[in-house]
Amino acid sequence: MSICIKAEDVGVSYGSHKVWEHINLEINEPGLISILGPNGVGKSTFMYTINKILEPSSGRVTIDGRDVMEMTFKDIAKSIAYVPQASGETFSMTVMDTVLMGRYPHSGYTLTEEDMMIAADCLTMVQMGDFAMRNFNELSAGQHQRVMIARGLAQEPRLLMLDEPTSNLDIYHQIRTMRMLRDIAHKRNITVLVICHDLNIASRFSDRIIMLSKGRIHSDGTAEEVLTSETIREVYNVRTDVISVDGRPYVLFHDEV
Amino acid sequence: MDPGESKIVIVVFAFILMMGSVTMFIIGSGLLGNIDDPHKSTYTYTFEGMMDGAVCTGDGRTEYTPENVSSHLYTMYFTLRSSAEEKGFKIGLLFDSDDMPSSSLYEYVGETVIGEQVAKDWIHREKGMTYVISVVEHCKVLRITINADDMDVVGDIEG
Amino acid sequence: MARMRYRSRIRDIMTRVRLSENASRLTKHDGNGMTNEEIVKEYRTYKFAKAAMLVIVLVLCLITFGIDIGLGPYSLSLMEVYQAIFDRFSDWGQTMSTDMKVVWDLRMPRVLMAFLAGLGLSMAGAAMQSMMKNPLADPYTTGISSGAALGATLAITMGVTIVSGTFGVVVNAFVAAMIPAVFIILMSVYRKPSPAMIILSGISLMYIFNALQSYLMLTADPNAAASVYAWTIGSLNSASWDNIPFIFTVVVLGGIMLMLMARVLNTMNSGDAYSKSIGIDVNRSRVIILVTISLLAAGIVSFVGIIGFIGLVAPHIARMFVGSDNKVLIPAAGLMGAGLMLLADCVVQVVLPTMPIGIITSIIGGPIFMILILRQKKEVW
Repeated sequence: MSICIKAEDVGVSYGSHKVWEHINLEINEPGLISILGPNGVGKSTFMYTINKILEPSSGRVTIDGRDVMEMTFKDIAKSIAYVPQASGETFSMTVMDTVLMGRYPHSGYTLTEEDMMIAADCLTMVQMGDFAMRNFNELSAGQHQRVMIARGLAQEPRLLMLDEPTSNLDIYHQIRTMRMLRDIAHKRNITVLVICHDLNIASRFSDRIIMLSKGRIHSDGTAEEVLTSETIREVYNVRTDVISVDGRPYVLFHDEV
Repeated sequence: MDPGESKIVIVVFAFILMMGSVTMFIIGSGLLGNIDDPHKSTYTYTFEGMMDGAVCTGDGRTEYTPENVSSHLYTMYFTLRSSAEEKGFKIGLLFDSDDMPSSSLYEYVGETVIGEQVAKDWIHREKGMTYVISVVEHCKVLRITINADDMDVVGDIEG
Repeated sequence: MARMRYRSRIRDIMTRVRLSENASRLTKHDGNGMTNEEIVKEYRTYKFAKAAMLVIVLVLCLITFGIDIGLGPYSLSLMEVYQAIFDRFSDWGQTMSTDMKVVWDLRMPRVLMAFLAGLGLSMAGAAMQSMMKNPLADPYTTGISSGAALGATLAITMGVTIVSGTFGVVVNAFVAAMIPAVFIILMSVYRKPSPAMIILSGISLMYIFNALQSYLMLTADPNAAASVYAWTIGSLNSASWDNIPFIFTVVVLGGIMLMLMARVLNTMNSGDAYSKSIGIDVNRSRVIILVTISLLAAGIVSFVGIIGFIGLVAPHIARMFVGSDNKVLIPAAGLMGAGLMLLADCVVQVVLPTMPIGIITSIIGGPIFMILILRQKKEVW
């Protein structure tokens, strides 16, 4: 059931500007994976190479052994779902219609009973079931986010990728969203890949952390393995102390850089 | 640009587009108004004949009532008065763009000399009436002859 | 004005009904008072309501159709008109009476043309507005209609055509309409202009094309001023059974294509990255949609001339009632546009039958559009 993504010596560039070089990565277990790294390091770019939104300029990416370059976007969409960053753009559709967008890779022109049940189920899973018939542009930011996640889940993916799902949310909603994503990953036995900025939130909820820095993977492992003072200083250039809380690292920052 | 300002800009835009059309319309009407189209003339007629067994006289007129640019359509209104009654009539006269009566309605039956002009005669039957129109150029009907079960009249153009 | 207030009152009632339904559920915090089956059932009801709304707009459209066909310079009562139509149908092969011929050969094409032109232009407008996220986009404001007119003029006045034969004019119109369309795609993809820029460039193109077109027509025949004027404003006077089947085909095919692209249009709102991620080839889709829109504009403009504001206003009004889901919006906008055109034609017939319909669509459509924009709560630009 779980997907197997391999990036073999992948390089990505925008024109002549090289963003990534020699990326080697394997994702083959379900769970919540956080991607951390400084601004501009190319976290979104990293995600885009996995589902071919950006084509690798060198190396290759395979999904369950198949090279993405040989797969159509629709094929990829049946296994991998992408939830874009909150853009503040709203549209005048019901929540249910929005979630049903995610059924595109699987459905024909008309929606079947099954499509609707799956969409309803995804809404229930993000605890937005009661809002199904509400208009999307009447919702709050936190509610938008959950609907977008439901839309991604409606694709029935084995890998769900979210680009900074918590960056515009308050602490309550940040924690709630990450907990929900972790539960979804475990209950549905899928891999959830999240781009995150908050080190402690990532630490608390992730099964695995991938730390990116200067165009390559700096560290890759459990929260304990990755979140150390040295790593943080190397990657972010800030001085921190790392303590352990409930078995997870907790990063304390100082009032200086 | 804040929302209020942007809306005003759009409104101005829309207004300019609108005014563009209105200006074209005014200029166009000005240009077209100067052309006198002979097809548009109104003619008057005097009628005489028999209606329901009684002698009658009447008058009428044709008006240009075009429905489309590729045909010329006229409506002829006339009233017949006899000692017993008075009746109003309305007949449509449809011509193609070549000034000939509509080929699907009328049949050419010959020529008649009326006054100093040679008119072409066309016959049409509908609603129990048969009528023959004598036509010269620009769809001008010089004479109309109407026969029906209860009516035989001839209308001649005045003037 | 009364129409607008009536509509907003309906909307207020609907919002209140919707909110009161949800109020009881909002008291529960976990957001999961309904089961999945209940959700699906409510969704089905909602879909049914949307379909019902479409039917209502269709009925309104047909009523306006019925009224418009009764109007015209040739004096016929409504009963006489329907009698003529009925008689025509009851015996197809008979020799027609004058009344029948006027209604069937002269009036019916005009009314059908109004219906089809309104339908096509509005569906194209709705699709453009969704695709470009620009409330001001339609074939008219982006210069596509003017391009089509120029192409058609080249064919008609100078005989310069790309293919010869019956389709010469329309193919010209289509190819010329693609010039502004391609310009827009390239601009959107490479420069990401604001909605303002797209409209500004569209209107500039429009005036350039109009000027060229007028010049061509007047050089070819200095007495063609009347035709130039009718073309630029848009007129139904040249409608006949010769050209109705063609427009019918173009509008139906174009409409079907846009409907097939409705889901794609919906996802484009969430960005190119998301669209690609669910399996849509974004660039190919954009091309298909713009080609379809150009085809619709070319097909309609070749016969009717440039008609403004219908493709702009009808989608806005439709959106107020059915929302932005393109699967419903595109047909709703189409029917709304058809109804508006028929209404405009009614006005023309009553006021001055020789007046080109474009002037009425401008005079009525312009203010409606301005009011719609002023009433919007969010930023439009």
